[in-house]
Amino acid sequence: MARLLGQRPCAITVGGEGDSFATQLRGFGLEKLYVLDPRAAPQWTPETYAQAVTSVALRRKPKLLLFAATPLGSDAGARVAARLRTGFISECVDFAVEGERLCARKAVHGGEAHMTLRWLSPPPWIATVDLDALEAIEGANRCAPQVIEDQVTLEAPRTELVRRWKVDPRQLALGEASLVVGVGRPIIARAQELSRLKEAAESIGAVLGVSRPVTDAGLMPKESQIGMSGNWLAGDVYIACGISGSAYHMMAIHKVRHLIAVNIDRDAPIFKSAELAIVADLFELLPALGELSKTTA
Amino acid sequence: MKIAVCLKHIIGPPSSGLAGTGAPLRHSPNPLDLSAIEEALRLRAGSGGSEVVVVTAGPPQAELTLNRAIAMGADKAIRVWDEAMCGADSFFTAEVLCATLRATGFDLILCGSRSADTGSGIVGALLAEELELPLIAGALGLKYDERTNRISADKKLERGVRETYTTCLPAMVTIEHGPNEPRWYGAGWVHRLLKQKIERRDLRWLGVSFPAQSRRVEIVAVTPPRPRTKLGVNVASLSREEKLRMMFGQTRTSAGQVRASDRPEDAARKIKEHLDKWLG
Ligand SMILES: Cc1cc2nc3c(=O)[nH]c(=O)nc-3n(C[C@H](O)[C@H](O)[C@H](O)COP(=O)(O)OP(=O)(O)OC[C@H]3O[C@@H](n4cnc5c(N)ncnc54)[C@H](O)[C@@H]3O)c2cc1C
Repeated sequence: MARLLGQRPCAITVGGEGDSFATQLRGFGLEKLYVLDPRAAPQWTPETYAQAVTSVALRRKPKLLLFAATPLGSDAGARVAARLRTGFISECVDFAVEGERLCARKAVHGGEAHMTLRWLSPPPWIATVDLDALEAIEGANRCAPQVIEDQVTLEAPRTELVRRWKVDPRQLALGEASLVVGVGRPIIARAQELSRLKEAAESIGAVLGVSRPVTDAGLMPKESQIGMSGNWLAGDVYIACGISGSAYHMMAIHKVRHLIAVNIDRDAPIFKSAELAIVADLFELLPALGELSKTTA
Repeated sequence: MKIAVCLKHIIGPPSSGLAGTGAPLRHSPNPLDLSAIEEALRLRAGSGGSEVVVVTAGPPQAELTLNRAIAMGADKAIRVWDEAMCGADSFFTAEVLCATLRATGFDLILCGSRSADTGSGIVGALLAEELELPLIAGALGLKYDERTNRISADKKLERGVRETYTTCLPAMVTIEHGPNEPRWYGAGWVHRLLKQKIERRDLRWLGVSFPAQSRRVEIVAVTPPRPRTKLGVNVASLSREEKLRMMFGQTRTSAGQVRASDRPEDAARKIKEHLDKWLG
């Protein structure tokens, strides 16, 4: 992006260990890393992050300001754009430069269409970036970015963070879970095995979901269904066991980062999309996986 | 407490047939705004003397959404519209909503955290900025403490992390999908729909004029969804098979594909290795 715009890529972070962070960022092509003093704010919340980034942006005058389209990045990015009263495009999947102007493409109407938008306001242009559209690449330049300690003075925050906690990963809804085990039609004929499979999923810290035939058979509630007419997954890993890979199932899992498929049929269609393909009987494999996690945990 | 909820009426692509073929367009309230109404109604039930006012800036069809809000239980509904607002961006919409909210008064403003159509998700932040209100964005459920006049809300982060924020009223809160499903209709809805009139306002009444700098972003094109291109992938280095795979929307390359048909214990170990690597 920086090359396309004829600019230098820089990053902003909050933290005391700027130098060691800069070393980690070696090879990603960043030229400068602005490090903010963590003591500048009583708490780091979307509100204070936004204030800090706004103040750096006013001083350093970037052309483009990118945030990750995560809950924090989307929140802070919108606040910065509102504060600077400048053009904001969220969840971009692609960028292009046309002459002096920058365009961004994003999904609209729940992915039914894509829309390309162009910034008209003067910079900084602000965008949040869909992380699935990106892949970290390390370049040949092994230089670490230059660390610049930047001072910011912030207004007293008006929202207060009073509690931060973590939900037990196994209690999460399928759409939010990082690790999901899916079980397909074969379980219907062997319903007595369900509790064993549940236990195995639990011991690897996964949420258990099923394909539609299983909910249709009444074996699991509708909330446990993965697929177009059920839950859409967006986690890190999905282990699909005894699931053939029908389009209705697959369209709801394309956001998952890694797919592991377990099937006895060597030619099961799901293997085409899987990163790890395991030809095995799920009723043997899942309990074995559960046992393995228990012994190594 | 006076709770104002800002609503967006979404006019989507036709539910069947292709755009431009004259098939009827899909009309619906923005789902997250319905969640915001639900939160407002729950807060009203919990504190006496509260009122829920719903506001939309939209064309006459947007009254479908206001009627849904009235049926759910809103006490008052206002629609602002002016031909000049066709193609308005979030900044102008927010300005119009601000003027309306100033005229009606409020203690708490709610809206969905983003709209389901173009979903820039900035309107809440703009309202907070313009009205100088504290903002909690992406809240799952709201609680109001009458004694301290503070509200608190949970916010969902990634991987099951949750945060609770509190702030003093008046405040702006944007709502995310939470455990409180929006009700379909509230008790007495027929009566309310018959009795309640939607107030209609235009820009002149509000004293808002069309801004000089009208738009900060403009729409260049709307296209069928394309598979995500991975920025940074060196396409030249991919095999023909991998390129085809990418063209058909698959973003993973098959480079890491492993086939195992060993004993279950060995296969399990292989999965475990990958889980440890991928989940960190
Ligand atoms: C409008 C519509 C909406 C739909 N929505 C959904 C949806 O939301 N979600 C959904 O899942 N489906 C949905 N479907 C159904 C979908 O089309 C498929 O029928 C369904 O996904 C198939 O489920 P399955 O893969 O579990 O079963 P199957 O296709 O029967 O596959 C079973 C697989 O298990 C393998 N197998 C058998 N025994 C074992 C064993 N012991 N160990 C390992 N592998 C084994 C087999 O080789 C086979 O590949 C929808 C269909 C329609 C028409």
